[in-house]
Amino acid sequence: MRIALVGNPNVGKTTLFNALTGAHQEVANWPGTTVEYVVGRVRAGGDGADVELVDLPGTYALSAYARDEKVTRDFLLYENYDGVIVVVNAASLERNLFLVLEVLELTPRVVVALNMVDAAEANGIHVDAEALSHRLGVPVVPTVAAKRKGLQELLQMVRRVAEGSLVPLRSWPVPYPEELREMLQPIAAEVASTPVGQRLRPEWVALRLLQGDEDVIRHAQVVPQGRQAVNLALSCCAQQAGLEVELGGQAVALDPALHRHLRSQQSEFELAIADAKYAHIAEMVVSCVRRARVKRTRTEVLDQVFLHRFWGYPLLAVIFFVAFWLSFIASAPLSDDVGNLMAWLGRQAAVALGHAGAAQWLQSLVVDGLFAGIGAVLSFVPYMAIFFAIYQILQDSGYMARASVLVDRLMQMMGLHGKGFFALVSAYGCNVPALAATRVMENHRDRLLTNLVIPFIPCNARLGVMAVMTAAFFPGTLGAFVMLALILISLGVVAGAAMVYRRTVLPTEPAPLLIELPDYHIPSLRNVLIPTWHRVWMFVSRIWTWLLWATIATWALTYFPVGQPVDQSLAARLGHLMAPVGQWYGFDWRLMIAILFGFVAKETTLSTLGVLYGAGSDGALAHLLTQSMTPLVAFTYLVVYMLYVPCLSTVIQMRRESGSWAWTAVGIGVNVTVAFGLGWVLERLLMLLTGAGG
Amino acid sequence: MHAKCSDCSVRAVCCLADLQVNTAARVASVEGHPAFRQRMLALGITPGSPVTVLRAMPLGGPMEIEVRGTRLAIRRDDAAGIRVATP
Repeated sequence: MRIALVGNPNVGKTTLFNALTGAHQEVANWPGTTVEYVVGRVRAGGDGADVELVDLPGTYALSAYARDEKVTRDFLLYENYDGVIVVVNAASLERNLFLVLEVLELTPRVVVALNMVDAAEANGIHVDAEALSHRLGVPVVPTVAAKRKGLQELLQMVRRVAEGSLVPLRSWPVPYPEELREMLQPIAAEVASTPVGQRLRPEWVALRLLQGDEDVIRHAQVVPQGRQAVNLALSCCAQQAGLEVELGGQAVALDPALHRHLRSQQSEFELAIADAKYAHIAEMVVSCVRRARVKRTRTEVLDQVFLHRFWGYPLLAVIFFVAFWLSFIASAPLSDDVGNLMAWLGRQAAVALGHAGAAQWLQSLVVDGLFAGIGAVLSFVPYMAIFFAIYQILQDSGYMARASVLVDRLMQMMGLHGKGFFALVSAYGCNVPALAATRVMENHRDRLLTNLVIPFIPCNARLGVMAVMTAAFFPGTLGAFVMLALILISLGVVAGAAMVYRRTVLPTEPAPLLIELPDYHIPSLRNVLIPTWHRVWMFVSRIWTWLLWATIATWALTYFPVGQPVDQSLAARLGHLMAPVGQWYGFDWRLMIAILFGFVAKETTLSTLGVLYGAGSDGALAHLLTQSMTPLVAFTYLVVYMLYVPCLSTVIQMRRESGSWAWTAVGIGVNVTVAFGLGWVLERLLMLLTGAGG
Repeated sequence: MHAKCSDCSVRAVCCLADLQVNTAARVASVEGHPAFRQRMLALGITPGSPVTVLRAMPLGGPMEIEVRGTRLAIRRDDAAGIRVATP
């Protein structure tokens, strides 16, 4: 039996899901979207033996505002399921009941899980579950998912409702006012004889038609009776708006002025319908909820600090700095260990192969190609895991919503959305998880825009290379200023690119900001570990083949032809091909090759340069580099290196997040153009300045 | 006064963006892009519902409001579409 799990965001829905299913989970992608939902089997024993649970994205209503919400709605409308659990937060019942009513209008096979009753009691809110159940006409089971309370009762009720042994009390949950019902009934009657009306409740379809729900209108119009119902709904709107419209079969093509009139009437209906629901809810809440006035809740106290007009900002900086430090700096030795372990394993394998009499090239392939590639993939894992765990903690605890509020004004100035701030900050660690972190944004364009500008932010690996080169060319305090200048340049490019994208290809204002500030709570270990594991696994399983092949290709280019010095290798020939471009900037072929190979993984840049310059250690490389170019060329190189194409993993992730190769190509194209364009301009400018000065 | 709320001539009815912190009011009307308006309605910002501004972020940043027992943050530009009546 298949049960859908729905609820508002921040009601403990996923906690409930995890408590019910444990590790028996599978992440699925909704067809044609990047939206994920999780399917799990209820742990064996008791009443859950054959229950399959579908954890749908959190939503406030069935009117599909964001893409995630559309997935939930589409599932409830068009998929097969035996029952629905609507999870509600007992502490903010009023808003939560809105979704309950919306689901009840769609299907009566509903059980309400009244979750977080303990937190509600702590806030002085007591909900009478029995009275509420009586008013709603469906079972209401109090639960505390985090403490596994009420789960068996919930499963029992779900089973009985799904099997039909428990029949809902009411056929229609919301008492709409008389004048609305008069309009709804004839439309519902018309819809009832259509395939849509047989699949969905006719009353629900009628409601949506009156509101002008485009998705439902499209579905209804497939059959003649459906078209009639749509026209009936239109004529009701027209009558209300005081319009005389001949609504025949061709009624769809209305002139714009009339259409506007109808639209405004439809939004009037929308208002009336929402109003009726909330009026009904208010009445239910009066009879089912008892409120003892608590002085100040924990959340109110915490918000006085975290959302303080002044102190909120330094606190935000500290929290994000700690998050950043843990994910990308504290984890670095772990990543190194993983890389070293793979290198060691590779050498052992080569020795074994040598004993077995394998050819020299095969040994080299195993060490520098195969194991280096696997090492490159696996060394992502430690910081990915720590990053995603921290991300999940910030999300779950309720802090991330506050952070978005704090920085929204600043982000808005750049044409970005407040919710993208964390992604931008974490891009300084690694662009790949930063791209994944843009998912908190509801609006597709906001997300896409953030995805497009993230690669301009130098990640840990790029910063490392930049630091080494800066130290070589600009010793002492000057180096610090150069690094600062580079970071300011990247910030400028991010802001500039965001503004240009907004004015050109993505011409909209950032989506409106209206977010819930949920009560703070301490995330459970399970709720942090499960999603972290899913995300790390998704990344590794997606990236490993790409990265492995790219590493092997790099190896082949520097290894062949066999026995030749490095400046005769295939890579060198490739470098000489690119030399004419490099000449513009004063880069020699080795620098161009380092740029090219940096695409596989930025971490390899230093070792590539080391091999190409024939340097034994890093110290020698620094010396050789300063011999081969002027500080001015080096600075230009740093700017180009910082801004050009992101690494392969970033490109793959960008494709995934944007859902399109075309946008990914645009992103890369802009990256390369800006990097080389800005590099060129800066070089000429600096040349003029230093020329004038000297 | 918020730029989008310039016709605040009647003192008793004004837009939410201009409401003082810790003042109780009632929503009079809700305007905005259809999808966004729908979201506001779903979150309980419907005509007649009581609303209080809890705090406002500096430099014209978002404001925190309480509606029907839920705390929400809303950008000031978006709050300009909500008219409120103070008692």
